[in-house]
Amino acid sequence: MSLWWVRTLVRLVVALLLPLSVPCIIVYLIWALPGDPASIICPPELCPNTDALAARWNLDQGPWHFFASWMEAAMAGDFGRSWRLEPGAMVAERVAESIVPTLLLVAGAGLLNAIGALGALTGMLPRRLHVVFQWVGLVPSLVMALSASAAITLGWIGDGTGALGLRLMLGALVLGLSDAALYSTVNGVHGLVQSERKQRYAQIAVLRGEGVLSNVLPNMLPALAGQLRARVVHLLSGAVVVEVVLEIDGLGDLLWRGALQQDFVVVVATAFFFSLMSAGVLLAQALVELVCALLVRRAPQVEAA
Amino acid sequence: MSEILLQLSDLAIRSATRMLVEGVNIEVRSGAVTALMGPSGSGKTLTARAVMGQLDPGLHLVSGSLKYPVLGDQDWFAGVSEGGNRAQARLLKSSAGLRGSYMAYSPQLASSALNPGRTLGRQLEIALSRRDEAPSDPARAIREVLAEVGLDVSTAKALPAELSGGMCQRAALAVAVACQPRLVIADEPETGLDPVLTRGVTELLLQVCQQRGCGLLLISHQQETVDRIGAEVVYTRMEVGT
Amino acid sequence: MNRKLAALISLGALLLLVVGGMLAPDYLPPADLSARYLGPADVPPLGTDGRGKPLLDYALQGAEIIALPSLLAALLVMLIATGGGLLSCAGYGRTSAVAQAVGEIIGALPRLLVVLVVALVLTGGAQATDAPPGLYPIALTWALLAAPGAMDEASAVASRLGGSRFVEALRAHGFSRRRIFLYHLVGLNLRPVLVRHGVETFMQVTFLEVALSYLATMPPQQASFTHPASHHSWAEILYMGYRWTLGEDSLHALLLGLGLIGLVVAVAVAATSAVRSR
Repeated sequence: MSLWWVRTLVRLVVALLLPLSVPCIIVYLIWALPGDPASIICPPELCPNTDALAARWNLDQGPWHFFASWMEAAMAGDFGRSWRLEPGAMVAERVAESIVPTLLLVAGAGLLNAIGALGALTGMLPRRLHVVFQWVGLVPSLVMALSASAAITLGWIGDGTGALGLRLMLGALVLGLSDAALYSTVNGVHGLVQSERKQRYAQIAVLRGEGVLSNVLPNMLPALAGQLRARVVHLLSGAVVVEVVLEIDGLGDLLWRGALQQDFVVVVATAFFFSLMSAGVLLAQALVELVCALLVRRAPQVEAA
Repeated sequence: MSEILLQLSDLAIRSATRMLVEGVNIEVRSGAVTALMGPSGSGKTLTARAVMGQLDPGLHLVSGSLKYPVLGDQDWFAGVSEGGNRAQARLLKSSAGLRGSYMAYSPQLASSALNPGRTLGRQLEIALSRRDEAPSDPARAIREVLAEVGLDVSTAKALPAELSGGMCQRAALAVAVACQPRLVIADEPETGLDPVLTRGVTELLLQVCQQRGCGLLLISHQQETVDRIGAEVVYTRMEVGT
Repeated sequence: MNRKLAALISLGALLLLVVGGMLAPDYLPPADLSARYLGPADVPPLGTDGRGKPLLDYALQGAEIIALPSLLAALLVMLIATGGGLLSCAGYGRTSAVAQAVGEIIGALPRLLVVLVVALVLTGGAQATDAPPGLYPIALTWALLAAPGAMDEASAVASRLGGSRFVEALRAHGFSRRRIFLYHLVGLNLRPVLVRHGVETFMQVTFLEVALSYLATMPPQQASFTHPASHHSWAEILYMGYRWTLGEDSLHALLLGLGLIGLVVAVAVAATSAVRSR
């Protein structure tokens, strides 16, 4: 009996649990450290009245209480107030401002990768370009982002003012190309298509007058979705470096500054949104698998005479 | 007088290192069977693919002329031997409209030749859509094709992996004839089947082609089968060290 | 590239990094403003920075920060991937399936997010215990996040060989289990996958350290993200190089920064070429 649904079910469960478990794990990690959380977040030499601070930040009744009340408030759209990054500022507002540039950045890089994937899928992308992408992919995102930043600052690209649109565009290019992002996409999709095209049924389909791609694509969609999911998660992860270097006020930049400043509430909130986006991608993969599994069984209604 | 459906003359194909097929002449008429025989590795399948306009990259058409006289006097191999891989790709593209409509291919080892991700019914549906005139009642057409090859209508809902070897071979034949071709090219339909099934499948193939009045190019290496059906025989030879 | 030459280049570059790291001074010499921005010809072999400190010392300290943790992360990934390949051939189908499911879950996490959380927690821990954590925890976290992908690929290679049937076939030829697993499976068939994932992890951890340190030092606040102020990451050399593009520092810092990145890339590319399938 086929157990195709087990993996899909695991994915669905993980997608549902991810946004809950990531903040939970961070909270418990903080409590697992030596010393009490309030003095870790703000050392006594900086904040003498640790007990009052712990009470104000809801840190005085254990990790579960903190997590449960944080999650309850988060469900109502309240992610608390920043402790150290911008003391008193509403985290929800900061996140709302930051999420759009991050989504644009990842969407831009994703578009570049999608074009590459499409080229590899249809065989329209020359093999020579794979080698070019491979070598370009060896450049770390930091170095490429710095080059882009220098180009903007020196006015080589744009008018030297560094408008957000330009930074987003260059950022998407850096994110989409560096750290082997595009190469992995193109190479992965190409490998997948080639191995499926080598299957006997695909070669015979040509002799039947059918298109190869229309035959192999539905069969390789689940594997393709898995690959693309990994690429999107990679892009989400890489957004941090690009945003900080190119001074894009995105979610990655907020997470980074929160982590540097040890603004616990900001880190938990941004981590929650990052895991929400990852969960969305995971959910999309599970959906593709589900649809493919249902489509495989598609058959015309033929009744016995 | 029956029509000539296929006329292949003086076919010669070579790879980078050796001659694979040389001096093959085939003529297939409507309602008749022509058998292409030869030992394993003598280029039977290669010839069958060439007849359908498919020459893999890396192979070189040294000589040959391919005509489908009922469709006109065009030599489909014209300019291919000088044009290399590009001309071969052009040939594949230009002859695409004939495959799956004018001529159909019934493969050997059918269980791996059918799309594993589509039910038999869906594969038949696609084949039916390539008929010159799409059937007004596809479900009925599928039922008729399945009945013709001796398969139950319930197999329409089955994936190839859920069918036995013999059923798969019948299914592949059903997919091949569903588009109502004038020429069927059956590539060693007996491969991988036991003697009883072999006989059954070959008989079925002949019966279906006779009923429909189409020509059959039967590729086989079993002399007994060919003798039994009394087909006109063309031999391919194994070339050594050419 | 010739496989032997590639192996030599890879090992040579790796040795240079490790030995360089071992020779790194604990502290940089005091600033000498009379020796600012001197070229390699004046202060061999790499010249000085804007405070007259030798760039060589920066390079060696950076190598000390990254060399061993990156190497350890690479070895951990290779070890886990080997385990995945062996499991697929040892007939433990259920264990292999569970490992793959765990890999799916880990693969769903954005790696840098996890690393940043680990860094945040460790920085908090370091403040509590007053001991800087170094790069090891981040490197090992990265390795654990990268391992499922490597394990998956090693399992796929082992499955393509035939899994447990591959072992049975070789057993029938009289080979011992140890020889089959260590030589035929790991040595001959899994090696390209293992080495590729190993060197990729090595490169990624190195670049991760440089990136984190760079971001943490913008504007310069500390010398390295994971070490005390006395230790300088390669990020600082890159920062000097970046400033040169803005007309504020020396060109040889930029060239050195890119050269060091190139050295790490050389280790990865040459090692992958050296073990590629024939």
